[in-house]
Amino acid sequence: MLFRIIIKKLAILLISLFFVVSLTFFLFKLVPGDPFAQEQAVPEEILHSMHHHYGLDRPWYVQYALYLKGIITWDLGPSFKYEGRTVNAIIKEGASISLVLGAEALLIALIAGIFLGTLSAVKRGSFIDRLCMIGAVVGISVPNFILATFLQYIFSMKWGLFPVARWGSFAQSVLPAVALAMLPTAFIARLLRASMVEVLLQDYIVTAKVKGLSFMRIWACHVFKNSILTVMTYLAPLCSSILTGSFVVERIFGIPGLGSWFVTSILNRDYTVIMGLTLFYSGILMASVFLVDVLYTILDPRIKLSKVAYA
Amino acid sequence: MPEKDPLFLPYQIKEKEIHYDASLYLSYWRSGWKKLRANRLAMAALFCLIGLMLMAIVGPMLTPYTYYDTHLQLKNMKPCKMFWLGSDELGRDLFTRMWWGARISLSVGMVAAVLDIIVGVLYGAISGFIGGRVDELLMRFADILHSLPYLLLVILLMVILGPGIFTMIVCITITGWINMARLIRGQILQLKTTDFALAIKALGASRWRILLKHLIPNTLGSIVTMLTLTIPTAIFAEAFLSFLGLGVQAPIASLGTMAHDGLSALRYYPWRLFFPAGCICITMLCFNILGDALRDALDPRIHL
Amino acid sequence: MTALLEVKNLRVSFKTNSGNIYAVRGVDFSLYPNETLAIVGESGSGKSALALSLLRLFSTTSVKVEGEVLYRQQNLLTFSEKELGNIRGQEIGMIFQDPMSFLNPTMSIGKQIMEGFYYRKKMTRLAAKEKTLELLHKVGIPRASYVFMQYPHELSGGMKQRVMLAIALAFSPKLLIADEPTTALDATIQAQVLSLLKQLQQENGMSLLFITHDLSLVAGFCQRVVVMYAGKIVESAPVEELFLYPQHPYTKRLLDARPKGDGKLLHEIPGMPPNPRQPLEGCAFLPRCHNPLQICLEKSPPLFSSEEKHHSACWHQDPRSFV
Repeated sequence: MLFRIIIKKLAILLISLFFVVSLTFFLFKLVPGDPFAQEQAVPEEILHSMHHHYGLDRPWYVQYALYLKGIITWDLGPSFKYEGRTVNAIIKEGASISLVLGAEALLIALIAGIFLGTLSAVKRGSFIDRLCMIGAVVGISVPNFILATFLQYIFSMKWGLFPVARWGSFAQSVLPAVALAMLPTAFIARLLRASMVEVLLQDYIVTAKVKGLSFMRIWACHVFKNSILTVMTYLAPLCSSILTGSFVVERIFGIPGLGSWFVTSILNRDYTVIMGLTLFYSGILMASVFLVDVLYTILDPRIKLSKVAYA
Repeated sequence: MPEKDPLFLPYQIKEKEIHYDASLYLSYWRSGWKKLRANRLAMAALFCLIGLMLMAIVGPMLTPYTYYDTHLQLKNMKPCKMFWLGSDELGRDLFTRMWWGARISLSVGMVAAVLDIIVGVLYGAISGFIGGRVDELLMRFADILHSLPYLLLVILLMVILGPGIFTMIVCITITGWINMARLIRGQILQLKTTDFALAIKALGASRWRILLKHLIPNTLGSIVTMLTLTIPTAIFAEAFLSFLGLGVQAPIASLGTMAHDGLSALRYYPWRLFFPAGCICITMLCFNILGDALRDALDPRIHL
Repeated sequence: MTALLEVKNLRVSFKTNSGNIYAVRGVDFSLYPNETLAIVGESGSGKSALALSLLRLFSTTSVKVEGEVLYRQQNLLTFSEKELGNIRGQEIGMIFQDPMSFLNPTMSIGKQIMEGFYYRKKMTRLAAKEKTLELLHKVGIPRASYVFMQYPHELSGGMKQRVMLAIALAFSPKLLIADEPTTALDATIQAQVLSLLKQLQQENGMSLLFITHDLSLVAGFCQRVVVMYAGKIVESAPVEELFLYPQHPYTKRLLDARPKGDGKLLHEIPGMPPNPRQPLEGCAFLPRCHNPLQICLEKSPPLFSSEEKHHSACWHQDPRSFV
């Protein structure tokens, strides 16, 4: 039963990926104007030869087929703007940086978020609770780029506690990771608190109390287990938020990761890079949605054992 | 025979004593408003927002400058008597520009949010109401769209459609309706199974009538709450896009483009970034606080 | 014989945004060892609030409990959470109406029962599992080792209720509170669960506080009956006395309202119970009584005793109303 559910979800994942891949291709075909004639007037023959070089003069279905072939063989083509660099190389270079940054932010968000959410729920109604929740609202209201510049200004420029920019040392990763993690932390804290408070109102907590279990035991086993499931549904948007946050944060801190490359390629109208990065991002996100979905199915016995195959 | 205690003589019950006193029960909207009023933080946020909107309308009129007047000799000045919030690198008055930018940001935010709500409600309501295969298909499509990062899509669409206010609104709307659609669909699905929906159907109401006049109005509470919470998302999207350079074109300023301009001058003229940034933050904060409070006040479960 | 449980002037009220709700307005009763006492009342009479208040199991903090709950001469209402924790499960157990919502949906049955053994008695896993299987067997669950691994949503209503019994009886408490345990079950299962309860009560030598709205369940099952209305006790008597010689008008009406199978129309009690949000003046049953007196409007009647152990709160029992 579990196996069938997973296979079904995998199929949906592949179909969605295909859909996104095709959508990306056709969207970019719709962009008006010529990718090469943006800045200055380029003579006809040169345009023609460039088009031929990049295969843009073939009919659209041929281009589409080549595009799909390229994706399956993991060849995403060359960059339009940077001679000699392929999209693959750019992705490899930037991914190692961005993934580390992203993982750091993810860890901070999970640890801080779960801690604050639990604290608020346990001490609900108290001053600490109100403080945390107001902090959480502020956390989701301050855009990450504003927070990033603020952190940079105060902690780097004014007080000199951390390096201003660039990447390489642990110290250089602290401020950007914190800036990226702020919104998800606030979200997780709020979600967890709401979920825990709701679980506390459930009848089976009364049964647990009647069993005479200690406060700690009731919280750790009954409340936490049931409310953490809610937070799991947030994991995919969490990755999404860190990903898009990286666009601005990497820019502000001068980090040469994928986010920076994405923004640069957008401003340069470097279409192959944009497309390649879009596909990479979509792939990662859809894979993470799939993983979280499967994890959720495994953890919640109601779904695992139901006779109806949920999808 | 000894006299019976007069207290123990029979008593005639009057009709009215058998009935309930119903005056304690308030209607849904009235009790919601009452709860909202009691939340002081939310009221403060509401007043703050009203103040901000007033300033956005009136602000640019308070100074003798327009948002595009340049004074090249007076560039990069700190806040002073002449330029209340200072001037930018072209000598334009930041006070005027900021409130002009607030106008743009707020308008974009609110228009995009309203459009999102309309699209979302219609999509979700129709999907939930029709049910079955159609519902599955529509929701599948929404799910696929939802699994991609919202801002990524918006950026891509901006690249394709080009910069400008109108395209920005379109792009934000195209991607932001999904949460609303899901919420409404869930509620409609639930309402469909209630007895009152069945009763109306039995009275012979047409499907459109059931949907528009009976089911959707019951979801108004969620709609209002979601609207209040979608506006800051839209404002954030606009600021994000502008910050990346994909927003409105100069010399028109939005709060996001001003933040973008202020970034390069951060080291020496930090106020150029922090004033518009602060404005964005406060606006979003107020909308979020208000939205949260509305959600609590209009929650049909804890309705007392 | 000293009473196992003595409740004196118990009052329970809830604080809400739109005023106070007075659920229990002053209740006194006693429960003796090895005795089955039934508390009968309609919805809104305050019986569930009463049950929860004994062990302070409310999930909200805006509840006020006043009075005395003497368990073995100690007032439970003055106990701290920790001290209460020692009483709950060990001395006093409880089962509830809807077993689905009272069992943790993400934990297996075995784990939920074992929890108590493992964490409170510090037994080894193996010993705890053995005890659990024994318990499951005792409450009449077939294939205990299979059910051990199952989850609540996989069991039927009757099975779930038996599981709840197993949880409640794990430490052989001296007192079991059963809050409408059979209301959510089919009639045939109802009978099974009731007979199981009776059997377990006799085997373990427990006292049973049986709360229900259904008078017909009470005969043949309980020894004494207490009738509640609008948060107060209106009559209390040994079960046969109550059925044969009811004194309070409400009890009489309740007994009349039972379907007798003779094809005649059912007798209903006109009117509705009073609003729990308003403090009471005079007798709560006044608007629905067929023979009220002047004093009923002004003062609430106290409990009058007629025979030994038969009390009712009606001014008609006051000697001054006799002619």
